[in-house]
Amino acid sequence: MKASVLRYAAIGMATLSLAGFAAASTVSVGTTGPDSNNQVSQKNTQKLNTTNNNAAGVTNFNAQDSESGDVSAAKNTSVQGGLNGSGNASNANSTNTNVSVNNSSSSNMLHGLASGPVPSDDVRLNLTGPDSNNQVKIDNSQTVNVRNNNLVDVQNVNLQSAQSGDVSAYKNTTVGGLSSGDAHNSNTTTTSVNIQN
Amino acid sequence: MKLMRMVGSASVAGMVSVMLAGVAMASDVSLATTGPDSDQSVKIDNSTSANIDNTNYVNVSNTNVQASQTGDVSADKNTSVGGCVCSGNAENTSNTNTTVSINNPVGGLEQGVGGSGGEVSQPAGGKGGSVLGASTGGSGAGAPAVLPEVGAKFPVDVTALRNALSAQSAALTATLADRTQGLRTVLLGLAVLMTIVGGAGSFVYARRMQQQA
Repeated sequence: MKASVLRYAAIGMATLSLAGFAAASTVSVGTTGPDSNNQVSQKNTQKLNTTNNNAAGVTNFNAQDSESGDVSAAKNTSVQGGLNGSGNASNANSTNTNVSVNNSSSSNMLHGLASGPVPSDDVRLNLTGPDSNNQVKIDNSQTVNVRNNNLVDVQNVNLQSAQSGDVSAYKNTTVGGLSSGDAHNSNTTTTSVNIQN
Repeated sequence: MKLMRMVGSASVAGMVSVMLAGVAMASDVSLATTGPDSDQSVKIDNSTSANIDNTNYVNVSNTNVQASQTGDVSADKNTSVGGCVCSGNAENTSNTNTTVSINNPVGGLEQGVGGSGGEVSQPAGGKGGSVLGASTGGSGAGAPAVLPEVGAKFPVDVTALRNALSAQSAALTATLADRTQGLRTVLLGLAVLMTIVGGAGSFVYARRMQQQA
């Protein structure tokens, strides 16, 4: 019996929000009157949130059993070898599991923020009036949040049993060349898990 | 019987907080011909922050149970026995190869340097991070500054990362351990059961052969 079960589905959830794109701000205050009060407030916000939830579960179950028959020679004049033997019992199993999780696009987004176009603010105050109050406030904010949750569970189970048959020679005149077969189990399990965030 | 059970469990939590302060934005402030007794104020706050939270849980369990047995050979009450009256070979081979690779790259972030004028407030470093970039800002030309590459680009020190395991990842680890506990118990029980059944079968067969003899 051999079974491979994918127990968890991969879940990918990404949330991307862009608010108040951090474009360049240009503020120009010119020719203000005496005793005037001029206030400019500009807020640019760029926010990126990404969450990757990956869950992968693999179970490989292998159970094998092989047995060769018994051989019995009784009360013969002559029993010689050759075909008069128990056969070989052999099991072989090979399991190869590869799990790869790649969230590199999220980190690429982070690099994109750092290397992206630079917003440029241009503030010019010219010809302000006497006793005037001129205030400019610009708030530029860029935030990137990347959260990667990766869960990988691999279970490899191998059960093998091989038994060659018994050989019995009883009350024969001449007996030779009787042998029981070989019993052989072979298993190869290869598991590779690669996570790239 | 050859029983080999190998369990590899690695729980890796990496949380990296990258705080870029005083910021990759160019600002140009110009004040000209201001009035007497006038009050001019220009304030520009630039802030950039990047937070990466990686929680990796990898569990690989390899259970291998192998049993090989060759048959018995008996030659009894024969006049002449010659040649090979022999039992075969019993052999178990198992080859297990497990590779786990986790890559949490950090670094290579670049930022430009701010322009002239204005008040620039620089936020303090981020929470719990191991990466703090160079703080730039204020006056100066827009020559780019490159943050130093810090942190483990290819983390191999699982112990250190495990020590930094957050409460959230610890809860996740506990959940996984509980989830797989049942399966492990069943498999171990199955192995024990097979051993008992095999031994009992051999015993019964041996008794039967003795009775026939």
